[in-house]
Amino acid sequence: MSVIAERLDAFRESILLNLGAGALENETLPVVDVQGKCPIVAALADERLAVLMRRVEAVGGFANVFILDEEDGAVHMVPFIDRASALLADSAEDLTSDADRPGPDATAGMFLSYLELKPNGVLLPARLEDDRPIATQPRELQLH
Amino acid sequence: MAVDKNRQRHAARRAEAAIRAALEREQGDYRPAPREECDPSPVRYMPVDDSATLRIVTRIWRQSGRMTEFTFTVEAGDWGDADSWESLARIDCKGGTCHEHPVGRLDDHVTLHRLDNIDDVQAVYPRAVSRINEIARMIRDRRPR
Repeated sequence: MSVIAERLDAFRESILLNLGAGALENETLPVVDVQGKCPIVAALADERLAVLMRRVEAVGGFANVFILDEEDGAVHMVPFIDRASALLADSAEDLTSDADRPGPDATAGMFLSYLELKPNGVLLPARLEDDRPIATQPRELQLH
Repeated sequence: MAVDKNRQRHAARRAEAAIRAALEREQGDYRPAPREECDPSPVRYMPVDDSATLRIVTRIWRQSGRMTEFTFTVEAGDWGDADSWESLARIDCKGGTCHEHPVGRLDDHVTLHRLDNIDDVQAVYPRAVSRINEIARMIRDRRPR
């Protein structure tokens, strides 16, 4: 197993641990699927953004995304939410047309930095044009 | 001959008593409050693979902020139906124990921890998290790449 896979497994375990006892114990996860369940997607800050996007796409295009920055231990929760549920959807930055957008080799961590510059969120690419998720402002959490 | 049969009967009784005693030691007194009297968490699920065909589903019940019980289920997706998931293994809290329903033997259970009071539920939670992740990883890593 690769080192990244092992680190990711450890991060996933930490998320589950904190849902029961810790920073996520009383956290309301904003993204809920059509069945009323909360999808959670984990990623490391040094993984490629494209990998994260595929992971979100695999759960249906919308998810509560947790990104771990292992350098400072901070965890960022980013809702990848559907356009209808995003408050500022019409003024969100469009990732497909913004000249300053992160490139194809950008990491999830670079995307977080980019997202912090976009207070109205970022409209993400999707295979279905009418079903593009919006990434809204990240929240920093400290997991145990 | 009759003496041998008597010995066998005594041995069988002793064995049954030993099993009963072991089960009693395993099972604690704790019974979770009825779910309708508790606050359930939403159902949360987290894939453990990039294709999201294997996931851990979590539910937690609390009463006055204290964890009364939890369930973890490892589920595998079905190509034919995006909403259809098969339970492969489960950990839950019932009958005075926190126990695992192992892969391939969902009707069976293996005790992880005896539960005597509500504090035991919170105490065993980290161990259950560790175990359910171990099970999910084992299933995932045995699949063809």
